Amino acid sequence: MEKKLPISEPIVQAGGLTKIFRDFWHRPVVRAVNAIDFEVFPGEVFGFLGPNGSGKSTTLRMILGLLKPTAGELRVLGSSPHDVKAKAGIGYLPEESCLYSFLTASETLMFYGSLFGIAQDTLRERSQQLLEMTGLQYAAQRRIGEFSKGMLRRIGLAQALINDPDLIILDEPTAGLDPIGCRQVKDLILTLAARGKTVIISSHLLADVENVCRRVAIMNNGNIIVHGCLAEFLENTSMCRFTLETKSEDEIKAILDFIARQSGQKVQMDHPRKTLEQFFIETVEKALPTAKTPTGVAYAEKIAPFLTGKNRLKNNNV
Amino acid sequence: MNRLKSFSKIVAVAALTIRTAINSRVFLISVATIAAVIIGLPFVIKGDGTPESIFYIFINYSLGILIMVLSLLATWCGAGAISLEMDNRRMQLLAVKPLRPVEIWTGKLLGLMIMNVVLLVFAGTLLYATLQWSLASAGTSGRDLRREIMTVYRPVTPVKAPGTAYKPVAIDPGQNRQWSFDMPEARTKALVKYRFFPSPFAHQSPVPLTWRASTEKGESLFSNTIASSPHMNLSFRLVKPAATRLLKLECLNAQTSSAVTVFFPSENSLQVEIPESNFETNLARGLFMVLARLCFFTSLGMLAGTMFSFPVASFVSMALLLVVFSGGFVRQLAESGLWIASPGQEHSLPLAVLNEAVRGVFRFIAAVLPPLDRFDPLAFLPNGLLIPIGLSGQALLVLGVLYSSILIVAGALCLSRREVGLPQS
Repeated sequence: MEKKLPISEPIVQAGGLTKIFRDFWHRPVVRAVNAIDFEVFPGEVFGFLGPNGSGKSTTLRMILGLLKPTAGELRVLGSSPHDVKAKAGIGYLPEESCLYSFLTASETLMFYGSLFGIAQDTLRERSQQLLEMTGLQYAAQRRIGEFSKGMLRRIGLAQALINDPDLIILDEPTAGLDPIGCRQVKDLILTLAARGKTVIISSHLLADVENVCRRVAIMNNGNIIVHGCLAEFLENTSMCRFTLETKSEDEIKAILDFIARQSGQKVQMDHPRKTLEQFFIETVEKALPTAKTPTGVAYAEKIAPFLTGKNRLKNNNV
Repeated sequence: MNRLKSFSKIVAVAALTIRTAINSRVFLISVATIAAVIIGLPFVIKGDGTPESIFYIFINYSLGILIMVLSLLATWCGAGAISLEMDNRRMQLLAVKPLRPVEIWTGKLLGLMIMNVVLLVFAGTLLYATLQWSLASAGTSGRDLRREIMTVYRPVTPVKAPGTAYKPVAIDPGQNRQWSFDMPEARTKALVKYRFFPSPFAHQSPVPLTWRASTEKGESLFSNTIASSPHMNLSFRLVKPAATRLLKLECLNAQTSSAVTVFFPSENSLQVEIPESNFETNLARGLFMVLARLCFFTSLGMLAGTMFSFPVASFVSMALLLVVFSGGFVRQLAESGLWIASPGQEHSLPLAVLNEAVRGVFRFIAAVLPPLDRFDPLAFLPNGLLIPIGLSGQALLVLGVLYSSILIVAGALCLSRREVGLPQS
């Protein structure tokens, strides 16, 4: 079902990718991923969808080099997933927080950043920008162990972006975030994609995937059952919709009669609906016009300058 | 540039390892355990109250238990350093960063070794301070006495023909015997230490022995008759032995009332000891050897932790520690096989085959075991014997570099082969 592949070198390329988990005696226990093929191209947001146990996380872990494929080919950023050079260009947000609980938010970013060999000055500046972006500046000196689930998600996202990665892998990125936080994560993903970054998302929340992903792979029982452009899957070409500004009742009646005569079909008319997410965000923003609560990943609509590519840091020597 | 980046990554992992140890209270528990051993043990083990016994208790028992405790801690911390990271999934975030397995491994080892150094310096300082305080409290206020106890000697054994073994010496009543000692360097003082056995063996009362020491030209350095108790470590002091490079020592069995023959059975029965260094320097060398041992034990624990989960790694590493400490027994089994008590006994074919198989296994283990007994500071420090600086260096090279490097390579290989992202059971 693959449709309209972008014409460029894939950033992740998998062919016949298989993962079989074995027991202590090396006997096969479960075939978690079954000979799947997919490609992810630069600058796109790619989503893995599927029920629990479908093989999404296993696939992500193979891309990250945390698991070794039993069979098949897998190239990430042109190298093996285990290559240190490939890892230098990857940012990863795991599904569950596995940060050091005794480090403060600031120390966490400094530590993970130092593993990329980033100069201390650059690292300090990036940490500050990321903390500001994720609305955690007020908690910069608080220990991770004292963080709420939403705060853990945000600091996890910040550490995934500390190296300004080319490939960002997010496992359930909006889990634990409130609707405003979710929207800001999605805005951030789109901003990163606009800068040419590649984002791979695994999520159970279909709305999240629908809003940001250009292409998706739907997995079940270790197989990719659908793979392609989301817009084309969701578009119902057997019907069409006209959108107009609200007119008087007489004008609407005249328009409907005209279309009915021309098409020979019965025509329906309704008003467009907002999504609950849109309604919620508008309501909250109206209620708090001045004092914004730092709940999301882009506090005060601000994305970290080094991620937007506008204010590149002087010592950007990753 | 790449090496510098690699080093900075290793340092970052090391710093985090230290903070992990501090936050998990391992460091605090270690400090408390060390303090309890050093301060508490002299209250439990009572000597005869003499300065010599206080010194012996501190250096033999306290330091001995301290070495054992530090070895256990090093192995246990090593076992947890990797396995706990795996168990709580922190390793996943480390493994997706541009870190080579060897960098993770070396960083963890470096962090633990820095912790070991701090603990060892704390232990050494506390041991020394408590020893000084105990000696002063025991009434050894005289600086000379304290200096004497805490002086390190180098033993000089009697000269013998090249390629020949020492022959036991027996001196009948009225007879004498002379030994020569090749004094290595000019020294202002020397101590003659001796221990003899009487014949009949049950004889307990002191035997008068006339000792004469002279230069190679016959100039007398010492002459005195000493009532010497058999079976005991005895000594007398020579002043200004610097006059000669070849010291001649004569012993006359001066008893007249009874017929007791005195035996000097081994090379160590009679030796001249020359003051070589102070106790502080020797203690530092001894602690340096302990550090080399800790480096090996930490690496051993880390290797187990890389292969297994924390509970299994703890058990395996402690078992390995036991095997390493039982090096002498292992070598004995490698020599004799299963029937240590009856080597000449004949057995059925299956048992003989089993015995040979066991010997083979133990020969292999004995061959790969590190020579810990060679680098045991307790063989030197309690007896006031000098630890040669070359031996400390050897300990560092053999245990700290050679054996630890082998374990680092093996650990990094295991870590690179291990799947960090396996679902947790």
